[in-house]
Amino acid sequence: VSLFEFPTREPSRTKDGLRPTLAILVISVLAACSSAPASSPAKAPDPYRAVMVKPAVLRAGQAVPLPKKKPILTLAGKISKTNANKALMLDAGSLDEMGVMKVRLYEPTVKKQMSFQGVWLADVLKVAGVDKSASSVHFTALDDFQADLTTAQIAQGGVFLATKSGDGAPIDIENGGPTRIVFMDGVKAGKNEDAWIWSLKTLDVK
Amino acid sequence: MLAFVILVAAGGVFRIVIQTSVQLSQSAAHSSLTQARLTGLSNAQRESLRLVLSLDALRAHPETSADAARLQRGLFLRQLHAAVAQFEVDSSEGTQIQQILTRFASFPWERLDDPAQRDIARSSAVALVVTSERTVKDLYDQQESSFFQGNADSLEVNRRSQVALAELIGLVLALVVSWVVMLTRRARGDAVRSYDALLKEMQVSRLLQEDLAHQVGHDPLTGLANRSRMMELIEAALHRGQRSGALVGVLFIDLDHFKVVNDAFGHGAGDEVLRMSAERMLGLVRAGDTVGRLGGDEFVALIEPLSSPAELVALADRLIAAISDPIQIRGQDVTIGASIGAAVNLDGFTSGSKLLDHADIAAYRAKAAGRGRTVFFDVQLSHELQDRADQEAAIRVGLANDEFVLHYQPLLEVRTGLVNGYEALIRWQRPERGLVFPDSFIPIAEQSSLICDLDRWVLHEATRQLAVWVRDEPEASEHCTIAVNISGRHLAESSIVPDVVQALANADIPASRLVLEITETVFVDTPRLVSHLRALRDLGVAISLDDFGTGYTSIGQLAHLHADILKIDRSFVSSEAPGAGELIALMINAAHAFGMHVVAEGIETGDQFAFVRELGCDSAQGFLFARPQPAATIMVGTVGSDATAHAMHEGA
Repeated sequence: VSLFEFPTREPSRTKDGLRPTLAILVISVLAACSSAPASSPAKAPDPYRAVMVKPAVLRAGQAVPLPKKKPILTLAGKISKTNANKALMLDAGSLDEMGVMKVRLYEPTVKKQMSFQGVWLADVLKVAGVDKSASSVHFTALDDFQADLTTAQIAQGGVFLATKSGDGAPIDIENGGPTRIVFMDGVKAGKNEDAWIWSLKTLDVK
Repeated sequence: MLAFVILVAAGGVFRIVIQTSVQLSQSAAHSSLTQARLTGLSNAQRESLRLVLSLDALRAHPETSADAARLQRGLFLRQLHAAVAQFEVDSSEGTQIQQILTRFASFPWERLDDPAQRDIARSSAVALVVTSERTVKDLYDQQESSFFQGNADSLEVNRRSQVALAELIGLVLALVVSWVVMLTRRARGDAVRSYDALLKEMQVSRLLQEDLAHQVGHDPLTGLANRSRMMELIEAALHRGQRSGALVGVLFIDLDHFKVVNDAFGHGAGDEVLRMSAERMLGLVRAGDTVGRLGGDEFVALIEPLSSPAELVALADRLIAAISDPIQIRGQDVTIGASIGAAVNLDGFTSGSKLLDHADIAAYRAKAAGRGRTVFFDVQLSHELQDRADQEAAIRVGLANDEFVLHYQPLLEVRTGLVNGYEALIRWQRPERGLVFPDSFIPIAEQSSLICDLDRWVLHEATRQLAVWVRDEPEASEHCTIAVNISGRHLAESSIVPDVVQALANADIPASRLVLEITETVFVDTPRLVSHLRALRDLGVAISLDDFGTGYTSIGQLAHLHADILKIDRSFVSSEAPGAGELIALMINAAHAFGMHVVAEGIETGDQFAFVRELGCDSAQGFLFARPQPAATIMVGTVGSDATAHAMHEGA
């Protein structure tokens, strides 16, 4: 089972990363008055609890055949495993073969606890044979929304490629399908809501 | 002692700083919450606009665009889910977005895949998207204004407590950051600029602004009260007058020569004239009196309490003098004027609309009597009003008693000689008077919203008739459209689009089968009219420019008129004047250059038909082929005589 050992993470104290200037200002003003409450040390999050639904049969190093069904995700860029025109096309079946995990987490865009099935994004990158020199992944969604994650952020773990709802049904577009990036609770990269990329189209490894 | 003073002073500073930082952090929290809402709403808004575009594409390329439309629907709903999550579950905003979501979820989207139902389903879907877009936009505006209000408030608090400059700068920076965030909201790859371009393309922003203005009761251009607000104020004043016995005066102010300024200097100049006139009027009325803009170049002043009718007339004359002062437009002096009608609640009637009506009639009289004057509504005008009211009542009764009928005149495709449509023409089968033609009752109906009732009836009856033909004679009626005349007044009403949608839905015929004929003279470029025309065309309805050549539209303006069909007025076809033929040729060529379909009206002889055919006219209509006749005597798809064959033969 390709689970990572997850290091302990410091959850970010900044509630709203968008307004650091103000936060710093307020904090410094408070500090100057020497009456500000000392910032309490962060509690380590629980280790990510993921349940295995199906073990992986497609692992790093194996060739990935052309999808039998309609591809739902395409990887390109600095990858060594390709199956079509310098790209790696994946359908729901081939994603399943990389192992199916089930996770439960807080989804911030709809502000709900939700369950998903899918695969750790790091495992997908391993199967794709990401080049050692790669430093980031550029995501493009079906609505042309674009965002990046560094390979380091992905390797740290807790970044999940959801391919199905918690009950195993495909995710429809209305709920961010067919595939989407979600983050386990407490993962730093997930603090940025823009990193919750839904309706993925392509992953360009750079 | 000194030490004590310093301590007290330091304590004071300390308190202020603490207080300020609390305010600042609250303001930041407020900003970030509102920011998230703004982002959510604007995303939903953008995706809904995209959905309209994809539904448009679906009409043009049903086979290739179905997946894209489905995808776009999903992306839109996804943004709605995200937007709804930003509000508390039971908040009014949350409920509103939830309702939108529900409406979309229950819409029968699968009908878009069925060719037979596609057009109707598509127009309903577009209507659904447009209304939701409007709701979302309203919510967005509310959130936005509270966002800036919140920040402005905290700025004000900071200023009063004299905080250090650093904090102010901090707040301003925070605002700047939030602006940047707003611009980088979950933007598509093509970011915000193209979103604005998209809005522009959809031309909905104008419509939205108008609706918004309507809600707040103000005319966005002049800042004066708008029609609905003015009506409320007049009603309220009349109620007060009834109790106190005070006189209430209303002035109906109609600018003279405004159209000339608009045409000569452009709409920007026209707007400037409206603003200047509004300002001057406000300068002359007493504090407490109200000036409002009814629309176009029509204003109204409410004067209350009034010592005598003479006082009202004197004020009206001063208003005319003020408005007639030259206005500087781009370095040139422009002079307009005003015709004013005055009315007072002399006999204690209390209806605001009646009082305004009286002032309107008097203003009309002032205009007819040579402009630049005031006319007081009096007994004689009252008699005229009575006559008009009687006739209006008769039309109302006629509508209720089914006394109106439609006659249909066919249009022929010139190339093939086949009937490709019918124009529905209204007739009044008036008891004891016989068949009355529209020219003797439409002008009366046009002076009130009665014309809209007539229009609605015609819309329903004509589409119903076409549905009957489609059912009974599917082959003969296959290529037939039905054309209905719509008055300028109805076109300006916001009910026009729902009226048309309703008629199409009731008859269950596709929008592409309906043609709305609008006379050239009402084709003025007012924003409301244009937005309605666009909405109608978006439904798939064709717009026909009727009686072309009788107004003052230049051929060059054709490109901007939002029309699909051009009907050359009969007077050109029958004209013997030198150059008339060249003029027709010019109109046809220009219309074709702008992609319009051309119809020649009033074809009465084979020569006329041969002539327009030679010039490449697309369709023809006239006594040569058929007179307007009741549906019962029509054989669909034929002209019911051998005139066509004859004409085709002669023309060949």
